[in-house]
Amino acid sequence: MSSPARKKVLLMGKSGSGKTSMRSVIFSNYTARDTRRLGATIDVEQSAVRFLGGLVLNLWDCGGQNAFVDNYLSSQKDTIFSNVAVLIYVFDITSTEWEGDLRYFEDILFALRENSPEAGIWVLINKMDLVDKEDPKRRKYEERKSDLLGVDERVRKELKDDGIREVLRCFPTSIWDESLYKAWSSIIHTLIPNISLITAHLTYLRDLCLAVEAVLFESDTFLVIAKSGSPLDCDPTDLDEMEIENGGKELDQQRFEKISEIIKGFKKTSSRNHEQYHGFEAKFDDCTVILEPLTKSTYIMIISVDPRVETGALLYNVHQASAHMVEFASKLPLEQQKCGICRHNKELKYAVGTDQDDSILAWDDPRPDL
Amino acid sequence: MSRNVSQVGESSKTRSTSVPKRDDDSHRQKILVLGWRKSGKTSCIKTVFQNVPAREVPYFGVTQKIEKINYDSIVPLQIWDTPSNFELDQLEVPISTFSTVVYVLDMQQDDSYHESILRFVHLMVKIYLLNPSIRFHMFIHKSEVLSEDYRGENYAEIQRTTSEEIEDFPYKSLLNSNSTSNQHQQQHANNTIGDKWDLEDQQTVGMIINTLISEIRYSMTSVHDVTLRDAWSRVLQGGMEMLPAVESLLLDFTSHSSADNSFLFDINSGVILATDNRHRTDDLSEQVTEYLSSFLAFRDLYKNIKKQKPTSNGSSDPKTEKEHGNPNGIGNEADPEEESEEDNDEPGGWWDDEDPDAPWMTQSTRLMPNTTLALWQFTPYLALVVLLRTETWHARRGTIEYNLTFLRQGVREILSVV
Repeated sequence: MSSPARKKVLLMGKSGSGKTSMRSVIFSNYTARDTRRLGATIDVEQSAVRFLGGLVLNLWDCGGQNAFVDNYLSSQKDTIFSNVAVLIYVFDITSTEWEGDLRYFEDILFALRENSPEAGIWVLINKMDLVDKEDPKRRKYEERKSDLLGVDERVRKELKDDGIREVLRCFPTSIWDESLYKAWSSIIHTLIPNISLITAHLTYLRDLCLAVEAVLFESDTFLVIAKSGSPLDCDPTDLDEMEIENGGKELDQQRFEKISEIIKGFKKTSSRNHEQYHGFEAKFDDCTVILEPLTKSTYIMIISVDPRVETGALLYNVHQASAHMVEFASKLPLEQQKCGICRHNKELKYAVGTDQDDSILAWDDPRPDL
Repeated sequence: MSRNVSQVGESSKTRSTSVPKRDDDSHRQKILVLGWRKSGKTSCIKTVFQNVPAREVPYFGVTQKIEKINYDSIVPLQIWDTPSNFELDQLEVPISTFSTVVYVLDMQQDDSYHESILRFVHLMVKIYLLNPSIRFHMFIHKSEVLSEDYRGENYAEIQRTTSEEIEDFPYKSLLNSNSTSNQHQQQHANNTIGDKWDLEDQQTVGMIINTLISEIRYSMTSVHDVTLRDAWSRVLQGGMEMLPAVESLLLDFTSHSSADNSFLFDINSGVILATDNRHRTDDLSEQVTEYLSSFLAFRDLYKNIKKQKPTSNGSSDPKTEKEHGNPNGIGNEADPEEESEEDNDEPGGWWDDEDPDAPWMTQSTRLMPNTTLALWQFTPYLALVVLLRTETWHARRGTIEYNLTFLRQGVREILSVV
């Protein structure tokens, strides 16, 4: 698998559905309330976000007014829809013109499937907070979802799908809770190169620490990148041995998104006092926890319920591991494979040679607009 | 919650004093929450004392009748939530049994807040004349909807209007205005006012006006940030007789441990009960309040996991588990016996209830450039948060935790006496 450094991410959807709001909450540390200040996006706003040192997301936030959309579908079609890694299409659940929304979606889907057949497609049905009280079973969401899957199937049939086109994935979201982090983590997770390698290392580290889980977060967005053991959104019945033994079944399925939300909130408070969050350790109930920086762009969380484990031991292990974990994120190909997990990994060739464009701001560069 | 109370009960029993039963409300401090329709009375109570998330606030119904909310904290509370058409004669108990009045005023309703202020002043004057020792707090609520500048202007404007209305209040009318109401209680109340206060006398009225104006504590609040908890913190502190004692203990601890600040929290509500009161700023209390709630939210995600029973190795050996029971924070706490040997005369103390193996939580967070926030749990309902330099933390952690055991004993002893 070759891993191009730059991934083009299209953010589309009708005007006012909340595209720019979510982008600001995830990538620019806005709180949900701050997004009230945002105005309409005019045309396409491009921004680049560096992730884990090696991966750069090119976000194309496409203004959603009909005039712009018509433009995207005609004169700008090639520019917009070629080489897309991911399309994120946002719907407003409260929209009263669902039929019209669907028609535009179908056009865009068609254009995308044609120009970038391998692109992943994610549909986020936003503003769920506004309907959840009247419709706690989310019937409306399920209806919309099946409509969307129907449209997707029609488009794929028309294009004589040869199996390279993935079925779209649908998430209910709200900028007011952790569902937004859930959706974006899932998207990011599919874009990270060598993810299985990272997972393998986390699992090894977890076993070494006698822990329940070791989880990796991106340091600025605090989106979860990977976790040890069983896959990120697997069913509670598919947990691995270590997780079951340590009571992993009891855990909240949404915990990582909630952690993203909690930590980002706290980071924001700290920054008001000109301080930066820099890791914590804790002991409570049966748990021993650390949440510490692992590399420049990641944080690691390790949780153990083994009574013998002290935070100091966890910290020591993390410290030892960080030197090797840094290598994954570096732009250099890994040449000296000292690590057993790496040596036996077939897909390993973490080479990111192409990222030399200085005009693109990295995450840690100072931003003029903030 | 009950632990706190029963502990008070048990330790006092040894001193053979009578103790109010828990189901009896007479030992609770009563707080009366008043306000205009939809001003946010219920939200102010529920989001803090019943942990209802702020996003559910828009769905609260209208309060139809008086609701009493019991809350056990360092001081047991009973908060009375009232409907908007509340009148004093609807209370089943005399107003003199209340310690505090909280008036909630919706800041965003420019068109009606003058009426709301009038009503507040009317109620306040009556309540004050019946119970001069009562404390008044005004929560100027829903501050999140206004922009920063406008907010400050409004806040000042409301305070000014309130003071003016207190000055302009027709005090004499209280003596003869009960012709409209034939309620016996009201009549009685007004008679009492007439007996107690000479409202014809300019000087008395002047004194009342001055007291009222200076008595009101104003707080700008919002369910979306910590200002509401800060406001409640002032309400609770007003009712804590032991506050100066606890504060001086905290001050002692803080200075001896080279820490910057200490905050004693009520864990469940996240309200600050006492601080060392040095260089305290709003930003700081906001930060520690948010710190506590972040940590508790985090803890909630993981507190249920534990090792499953059949373990392959000896890790569930009771001895190791016992050691684990004393997290580094309060390890020294394992010497309660030693302690009681010294005071052999006393038949028993609070430490008899102490479970040395109880796994109190402890936490520390590092912030760049050089601050550390550390937390220790004191009782199931109290936690101490200390703010200090990171290098102090690294160099003196042992000393700090040693000092902490004494602070902890001190605070708990004060509690058991009250």
